[in-house]
Amino acid sequence: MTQFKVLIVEDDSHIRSTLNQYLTLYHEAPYTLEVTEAATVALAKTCLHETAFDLLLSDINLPDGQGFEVIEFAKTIRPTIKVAMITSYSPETYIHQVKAQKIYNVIIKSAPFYFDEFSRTIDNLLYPEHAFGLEQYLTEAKPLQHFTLSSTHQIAEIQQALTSYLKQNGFDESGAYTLALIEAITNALYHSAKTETGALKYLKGDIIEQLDPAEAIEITLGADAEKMALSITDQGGMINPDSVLYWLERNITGENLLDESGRGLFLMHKLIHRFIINVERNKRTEIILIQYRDENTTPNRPVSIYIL
Amino acid sequence: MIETLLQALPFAWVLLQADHRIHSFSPSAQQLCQHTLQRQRPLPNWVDPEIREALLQKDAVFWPQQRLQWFVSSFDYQSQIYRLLFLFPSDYALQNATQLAESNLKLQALAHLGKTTSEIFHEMNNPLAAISMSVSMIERALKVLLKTVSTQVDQPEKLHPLFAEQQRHLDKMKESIHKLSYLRENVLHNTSSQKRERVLFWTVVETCLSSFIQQPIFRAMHLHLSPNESRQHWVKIDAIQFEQILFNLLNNAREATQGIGTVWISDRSLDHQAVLEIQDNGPGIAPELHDLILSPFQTTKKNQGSGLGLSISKQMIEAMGGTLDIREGTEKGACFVITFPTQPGETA
Repeated sequence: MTQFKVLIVEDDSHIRSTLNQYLTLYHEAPYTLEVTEAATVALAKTCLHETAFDLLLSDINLPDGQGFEVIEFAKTIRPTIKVAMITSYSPETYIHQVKAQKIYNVIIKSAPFYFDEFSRTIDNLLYPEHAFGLEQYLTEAKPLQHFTLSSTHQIAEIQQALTSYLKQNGFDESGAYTLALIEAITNALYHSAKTETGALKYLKGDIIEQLDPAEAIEITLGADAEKMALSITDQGGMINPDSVLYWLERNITGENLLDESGRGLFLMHKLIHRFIINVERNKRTEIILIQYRDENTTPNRPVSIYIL
Repeated sequence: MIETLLQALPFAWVLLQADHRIHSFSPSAQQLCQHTLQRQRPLPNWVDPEIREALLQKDAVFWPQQRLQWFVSSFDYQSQIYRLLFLFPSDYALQNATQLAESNLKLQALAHLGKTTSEIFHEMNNPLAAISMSVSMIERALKVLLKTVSTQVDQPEKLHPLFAEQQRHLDKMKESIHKLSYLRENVLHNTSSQKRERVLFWTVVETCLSSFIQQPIFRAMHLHLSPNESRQHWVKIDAIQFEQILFNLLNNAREATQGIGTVWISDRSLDHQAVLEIQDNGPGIAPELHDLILSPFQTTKKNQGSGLGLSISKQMIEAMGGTLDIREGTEKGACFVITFPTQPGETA
C-alpha cells in the first residue's frame, strides 16, 4: 500500500495531535499516511531536512517565526511537495504572502471543524484528480440534478431550478447562492470558449444562441444533510491559479475599483462558504460552490485551488 | 484652580479622543466645546490665527469636522486647544460637566472593554477549534465502538442507552461550542473597523428594506414605510453594518409578532439628528426592561439567541456616532429609535 509522509507544523499541541490522530486513524483512503509533528519553524526545518515529505500543513503564527518561512524552505528543498496553510485567520490578512508564495490551499481552523472536509482536502492535495466531481463533497447525497448549458437563454431556467432545488431541500437562501451561480456561469460562458487564434469568442454580455457541443457547460446541483453544493464545469481549463490569487488580492486591498474582471471571483470567495476551483489545463475548469446549512460556519474562507 | 481644571477635564478628554474618534463627537459635545471657546474674552496672543478665526466664527453652529480634525491632527494645535480649554471653562460646561464626564468615562470603559474582549475572543479560536475537533473525534470513536460492541457482545442492545446518553452529551457540547463560536464571530466582527460613508439616510433605509421584503422569513410581515416627505438627511454611517442592525431589529419584531405582525418605519429630523423609528404591534417591552434589554446577554426570548443582538446593534450604532433607544410606542408594541447626527450638505 502506498504511504505518504505528512508534516504538520502547528504550535497548539492539542490541535496538532488531534489532526495527527485523525489522519492516522480515520482518514479513509487506499493509502496510508505517516504523520510527523513539529511545533516550531526550526523543528519543521529539521524534519524537512531529514525526511522527504509528500505533504506539508503549516500554521501561520509559530513561536519562532511564520509558517510562510517553512513553506518556502520546503519548496526549495523539495519542489514537488504539496503544501497547505492551516490557520484561524481570514485569508484577507495574509493574501499578499499567499499570492507571493503561490499557496493554493488554505485550511481554516474553525469551530465546528469539519473533518470530512479536511479529509477531502488532504486527498485532493495528494491526488488532484479526486478534487473533480460534486459527489466527492457530499456524504449520503440527495439525488443530483444535471444540466447542460449551451445558450444564454437557459440561464433563467437554471436559476429557477436552483431556487426550487434549494427549497425542496429546505435551504433558506439569502440570494448569495444565486448570485454566485450566475457569476460562475458568466465566467464559464465568456472565458472558456476561444476562437482558433486563441482570442475570446464571446464578450461579456453577448447573447449566445448556441454554444458548440465542445464548449457546453455542465451544471450539477446536489445536497446532503448539512450542506448544499453545486458545480459548474466548462471545457476550457483556462483559469490560472496565480491570477485567481492576483484578483483576490486586488479586490481585498481595494485596488480593483477600475478593474473590469475579477470581481466575480471575489464575490464567490466572500459569499460562499466553500469556493473550490479545479483546473485541468486546457481541458476543463470545475467551480464547486458549497454552502453549509449552518450559517455560523466561520466567515473566514478557505482557499482551495487544485491543478491537475 | 482645581475647580477650573475639573471643569475642563471632560473637554480635554473629548479632544484627546478626537484624533481617533472625530466622527463620534456628539453634536452636543461639539457645541459644548465651541460654546466654551467662544466666551466673550479676548483670546491670548499665542493662539494661532487659524484657530482664532475658527473659534470666533459667529454663525457656525458646529465646527466643520474637517477643520476640527485638522486641528487635532497637529500637535501644536492640540496643545493650544488644551490650554484654551483650561482657560475658558464656561457655566454651560459646569452644568454639563458631570454628565459628560460620566458618559465619557463610560465610553472610555467601553472602548477598553471592547479592545480586551476582542483580544480574548481572538485567543479563543484555537481552544474552540481544538475542543470542536476532539468532540468530533470522540463521536467517531463512539461509532466504531458501537459497531464493535454490536458484533462482539451478547445482548448489545442493553448497551445502546449508554451510547445514546453519551451522544446526547456530545450534542450538548457541540451546541455550546456553536454558541461560543457565534458569540466570538459577532464580537470580533463588530469590534473591527467600520467603513463609514456619507449617504442619504432614507435611501439606505429603503434599499435595505426592499431587500428584506423579498426574504422568505418576512413574507407574512406588513411593513409600512413613511419617509420624511420634506427633506432627506445626509448621515455618515457604515451602510453594511446598518443593514445588519436593521435586519436585527426587524427580525426581533418578526419574532415578537410570530412572523405575521405589522411594522411601521418612519423617519423625521430633530435638532440636527436624523431619527428612524421602528415600531411593531407585538406585546411590547416593559419600560423597566428598556435599559436592561440593550445591555449584553439579556434576552426575553426563552432558549433563543445569546441576547447579544440588541446590545451589539447599540454598540455598532454608537460607534457610528448615533444612538439606539427603546420607547413605548403609540401602538402597544415595542418602538426602537435610532438617531444619527446629520451631516452638513445640501438636502435632497
